[in-house]
Amino acid sequence: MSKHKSIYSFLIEHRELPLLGVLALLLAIVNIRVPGYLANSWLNVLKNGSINMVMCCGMLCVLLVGSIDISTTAVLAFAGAVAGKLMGLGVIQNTLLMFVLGIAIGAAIGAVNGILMSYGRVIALIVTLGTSYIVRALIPMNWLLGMNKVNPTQLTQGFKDSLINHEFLGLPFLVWLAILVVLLTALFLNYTRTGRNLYAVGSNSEAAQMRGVHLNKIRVLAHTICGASAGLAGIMWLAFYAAIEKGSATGDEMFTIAACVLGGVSVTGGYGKITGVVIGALMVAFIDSAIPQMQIGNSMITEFIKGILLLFAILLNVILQRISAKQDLAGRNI
Amino acid sequence: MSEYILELNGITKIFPGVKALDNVHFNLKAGEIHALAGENGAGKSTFIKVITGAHQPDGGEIVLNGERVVMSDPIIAQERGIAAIYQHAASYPDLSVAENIFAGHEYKIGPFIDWGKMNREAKKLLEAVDADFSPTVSVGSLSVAQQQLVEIAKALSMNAKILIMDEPTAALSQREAEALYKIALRLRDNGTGIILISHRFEDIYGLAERVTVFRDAQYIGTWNLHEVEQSFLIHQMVGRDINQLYPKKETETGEELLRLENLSRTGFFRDVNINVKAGEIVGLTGLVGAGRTEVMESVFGVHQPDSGKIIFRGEEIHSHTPTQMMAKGLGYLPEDRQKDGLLLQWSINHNISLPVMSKECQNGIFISKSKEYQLSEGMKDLLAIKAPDTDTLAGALSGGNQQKVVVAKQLAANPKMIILDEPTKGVDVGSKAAIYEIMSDLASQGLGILMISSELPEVINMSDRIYVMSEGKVTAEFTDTKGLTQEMILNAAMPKTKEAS
Repeated sequence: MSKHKSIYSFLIEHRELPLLGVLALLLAIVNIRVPGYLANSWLNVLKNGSINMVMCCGMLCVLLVGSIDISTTAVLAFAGAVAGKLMGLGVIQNTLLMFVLGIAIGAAIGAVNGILMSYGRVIALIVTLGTSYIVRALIPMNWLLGMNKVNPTQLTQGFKDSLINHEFLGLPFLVWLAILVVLLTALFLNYTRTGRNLYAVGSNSEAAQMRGVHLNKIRVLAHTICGASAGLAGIMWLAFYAAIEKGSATGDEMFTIAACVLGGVSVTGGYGKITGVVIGALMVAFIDSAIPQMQIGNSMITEFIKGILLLFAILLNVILQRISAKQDLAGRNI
Repeated sequence: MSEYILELNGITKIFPGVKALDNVHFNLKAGEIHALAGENGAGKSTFIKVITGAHQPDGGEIVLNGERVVMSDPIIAQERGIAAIYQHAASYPDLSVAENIFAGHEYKIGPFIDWGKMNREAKKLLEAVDADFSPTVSVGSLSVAQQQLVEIAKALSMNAKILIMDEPTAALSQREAEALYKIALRLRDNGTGIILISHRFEDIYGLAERVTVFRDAQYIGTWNLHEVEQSFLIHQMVGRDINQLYPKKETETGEELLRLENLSRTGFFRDVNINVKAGEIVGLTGLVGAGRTEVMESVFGVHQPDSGKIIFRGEEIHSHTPTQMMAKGLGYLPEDRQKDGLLLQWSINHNISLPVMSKECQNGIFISKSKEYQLSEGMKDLLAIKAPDTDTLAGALSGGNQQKVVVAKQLAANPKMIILDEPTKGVDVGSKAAIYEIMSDLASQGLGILMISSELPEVINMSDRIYVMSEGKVTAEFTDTKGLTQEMILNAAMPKTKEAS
């Protein structure tokens, strides 16, 4: 009895775990339809999912404080484009400097988002919609560093090789970078006071304020982190695809948000775990890669099925959580 | 001078349009429990926020240990040893108990949080307050009473020299309140100065040595409690005499309105049999968490029961919703008025007219403003709601007046039976008498009233019949309230498995 009860309460405390079951089910179905899919594709899925994974870490911080950011992919394209143009002009040749610059640009835009939504009291959805239009529109403008997009020829070989052609334990640096960002986020959110304050502000902002937490500073910080992660993702994108333009990654911010929600993050703030987000991001990456390979039809059908699958996964997750909650109540013996 | 650890002299606080505090005084000795009393809206909460640094006073001085200080920030007040337990548990529902206890002063190794030590220390503090839950569960999964224990553990963890308890027992049952008293007395004996705000005179007389009364934002006086009578204090708080706190009228009971037969819901209650007749006030009491609210929520259609029958006005009810039950003539006044009972961003007027929108307040298919105001103005006068006008936002009212708006909302729908869940929780003595008066009037007009309450004096004095619940079951029914004592009810309310002693 007590053993069973502890399993259920474990499930309730870890809302994200039922999702692992859903992921396994999905992979099993795809593997039956496309034999050898998993063995052939896992590395590609990880590579393609790395950039979204990094953005998910930032998005988690913003969602935790009860806010949202839909400018992430615009920031990605902008940071990547500015850094790429500078490399094309010969201003920057150092690969590491590219990453530092990308993070700095992203953080600056994120901070502006945060200041407008907290001190300016404009809802985050509108603020980030506005900044996403502005920064995307800036990308092709000629007065901004002279070129309207970034081509492979403008990038140094060292930079293009940096994430793809260097490996450690069989995984490219691209994937390791995502793992590093996940670990840093986990450390920050679980083991620092500031990280816990993100949860506190999202969980009960009034209580946090009475305890002396500066709500606006925490909100600006969360948006700055989110912007920084999107800026970093921009440089990863540039190194991976060796090109970037105005329309790069358009609409992908919804995959970032979907991955977080799949991972059990509360969109009203206060609850969300990095483990859940990792599972959610993997799930989104697998859905993204597996459906086209199943060769069900043209690309429109593929998109349709992707949408259905996302909804199905979220619904199944919710149902599994509800069942475990009901079981827990039965444990009260009333 | 040095007799007091905390002195507040001539504190004034002005909000736009309102003087919330007008030249008030207060002082506190080490090792003393000093009660702060007054009606809702007298300025007690604002005063507490001035002490804890959440509000800055517009005039006056705060003297801490003989030194004049400015509490510019809640953190400064905390660092100077001032801790507060608030009326509404100010916790983070998504975070663990340990985190809530140590929020803001976590144990750390270098820059990183030391979870092991935090959970161990939290466990010790929880043992000190007789809590039987683990420090790792999330606070949102605890009952209100358990959350209050977390708040107390939090205050203990700060080693406060000055502890403010703002209505700490409002959400607690008798037994839990007594556990809290013991903790308060222990802290006092260790030299902590405690400021106690409570509407329960039992609390004030049982714990405090001195009492300071505020009325309408002004300082009325400070007295030694063993020198003053309760009636004198009530007079000071209200500014007039209250002749009879419990105005219970004898009424004829009529037809049966509600009957529950073996009603059960997994995890909450089992085999509940309760009935309510017209003209009757039925008390439903028990410890917090006994399942009282859950039973009545199932009756009202908020949740569906798993088995058993609900018979309302002769008709068996199946898969019902609150809207249907309201149309059938059942009103429900929820316990957490901020969360379930009121739309805080709406005006008093719109709140009151909401449940009757379709019937009383329309001309054809459009809402009639004048009918709406006619209704809400009438209710405002009837219940003496303190507000400039009915366009005032519900969120701007004090707790007692918010409760009156919720009552008005139910009455506007003209129900045959109403369920009141803790109708006087956190309500001052003047408003309490008004609410009892209204209940009594309604019963004499033939309404059936079911009152869920943890306050035993009100249960005994206001009810015609009393049901007691414990651990999801009805454990006693008292049909005659004459000669009934609090001990008899408590005996039925105690969980049988744990309380062998």
